[in-house]
Amino acid sequence: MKPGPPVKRDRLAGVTILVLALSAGWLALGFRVNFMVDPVGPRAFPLVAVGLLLIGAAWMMLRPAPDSGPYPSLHIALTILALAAVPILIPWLGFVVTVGGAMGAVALLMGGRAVASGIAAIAIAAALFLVFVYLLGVPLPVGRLFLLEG
Amino acid sequence: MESFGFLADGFAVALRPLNLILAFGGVLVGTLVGMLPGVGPINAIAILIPVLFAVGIPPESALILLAGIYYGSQYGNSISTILLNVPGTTSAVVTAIDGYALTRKGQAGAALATAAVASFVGGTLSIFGLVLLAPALAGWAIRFGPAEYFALMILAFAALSSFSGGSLPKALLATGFGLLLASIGLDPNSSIPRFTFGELRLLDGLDFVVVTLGLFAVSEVFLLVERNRLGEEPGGPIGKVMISFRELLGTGWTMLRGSVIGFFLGVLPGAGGTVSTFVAYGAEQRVSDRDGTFGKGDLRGVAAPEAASNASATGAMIPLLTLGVPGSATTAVLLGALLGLNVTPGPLLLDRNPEVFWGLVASMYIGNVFLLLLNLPLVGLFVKVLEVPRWILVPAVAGLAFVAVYAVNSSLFDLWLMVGFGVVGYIFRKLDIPLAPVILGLVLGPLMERNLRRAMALGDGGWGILFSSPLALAIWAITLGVLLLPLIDGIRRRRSAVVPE
Repeated sequence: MKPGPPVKRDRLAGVTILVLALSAGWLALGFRVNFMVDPVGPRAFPLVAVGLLLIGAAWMMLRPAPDSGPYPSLHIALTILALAAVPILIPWLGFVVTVGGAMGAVALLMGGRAVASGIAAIAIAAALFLVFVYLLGVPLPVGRLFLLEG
Repeated sequence: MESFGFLADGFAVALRPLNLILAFGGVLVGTLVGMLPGVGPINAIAILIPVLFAVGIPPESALILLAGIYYGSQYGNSISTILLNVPGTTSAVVTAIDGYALTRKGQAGAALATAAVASFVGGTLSIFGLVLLAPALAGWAIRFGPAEYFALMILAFAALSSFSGGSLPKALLATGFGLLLASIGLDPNSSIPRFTFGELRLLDGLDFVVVTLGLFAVSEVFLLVERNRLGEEPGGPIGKVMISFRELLGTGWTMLRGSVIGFFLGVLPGAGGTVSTFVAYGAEQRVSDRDGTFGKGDLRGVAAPEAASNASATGAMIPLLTLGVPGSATTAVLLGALLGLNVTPGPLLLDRNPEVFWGLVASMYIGNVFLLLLNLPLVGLFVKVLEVPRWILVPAVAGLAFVAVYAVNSSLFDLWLMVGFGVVGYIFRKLDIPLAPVILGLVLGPLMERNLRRAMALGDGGWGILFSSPLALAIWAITLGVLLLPLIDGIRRRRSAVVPE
């Protein structure tokens, strides 16, 4: 037996989901209407869902499966950051530049070389622009930085 | 048979130039996305839904395209499975056994040709079953009341959780998560906001395209970055795509048996692709493996699961279209697309929108012919697509997901949600929590709640109404059996093998 981490993943996730599910259940108890109007009411269904979550969470805490697969690395954190930056930066840089930049970052994280990743990012950005404007007809947010110039 | 008269009308719909192009485009895109890692039919369909809404094409044309992607991807999946030993979905795992063994023996071409023909046989035979079975099932389901529908949806969840082969409590957890997501927003009956935290943008509920692309596409991007770091880059040599007619004829009965097994298991909600390929392979091994060649590169080991997987994809359209109850994540996404196009699948679909149902059926015949024509001579070209470097493919998938989600509501909030669900999907996958029940819960949740409340209102608030008809009782009994199956199986396995700790 290799010495694993002090807490198994399943147990950690089980506790987290249990707490979240209980809070959701507590919120759901507050959904009330007159019983005569609606015998089931708006809270029965969410409470059933919470019940299923609690069964799964309790199982994961009591009978955790052994951890499998690699542990999340710095690269995963960076990838999440690159994607989460998109909705933050769109108001400033506009859609095409932001998404293009984020895709360049993902290409680098996938092991692409710098120049090649840059070219891929520009190509993706150009393709996105074409899809948006010509195929979907969705107006694109341009970004404040560029609006200031014009 | 009046069905065949309707089918003729269906061909009139399917042979319109636009629909022919869409059927061709659908199976082409399906083959590509089934083959490439990280895309898959769920993401492709979810990405296309906002595009189709924006373009505003008629529902039968949209369904012809999306269904083409669905059954085309079953075949595309077999290409990467046979050549690279990377089954994109669990339904192709069995094909990998003999398919990859053939590739290592230098017979990849024969394996690919067998897969193409088996897919065609499975696909076309099961459409015949669809034509016969769907109208009968619809005529029968017209008597379903809200109590029966509610029970049927519970059955779909039970089957999906039970047959997934993973941990049942984790599948229940995933179902609960999906149902909880479905209840976000204004409650339609009482107009009480649920789980909106005062956020106006949550009042309409979560858009399933946003959740689907987050859970599947974005989490796949994270996983691919992770795997890439670990240097998991598969590869294999590709031979010439040829097969002798006699070899092909030798797999004829295998394809027939696989098609029948696949079709009937596909009709069952929840069982679907994975179970049908395993059963078909196992049955074929028992029937025809006289020289012990299965597992060492036997063409019949490719033909059986490939015929079964395509037949089950067609079979799965039956509960989706005639009952409105999907049995898998992909068909749940198709249901979401249909509802968005103002087509309500169910027993009345055949009467109200015959052009949708029969047009689709006819287009599936045509689409399967396209698939065969595309794949026998051109498979060499498709294989080139596998050589697209991952560091281009993965960011492109993420970029398309951003475009599709932004096109839904032009909302940055949706982009936040998608990235958030991507992280949730990544965590769920690391924990072996299945994602399919989440999507099924999200799409079926509102329908389920509506039917439950309608039933309870009919029964004056008593729970007895849910168990009052023999039909409902029968569905509940099947559900119980389906849930008990893995438990019994687990106990038996524990008895036969003492697990050392």
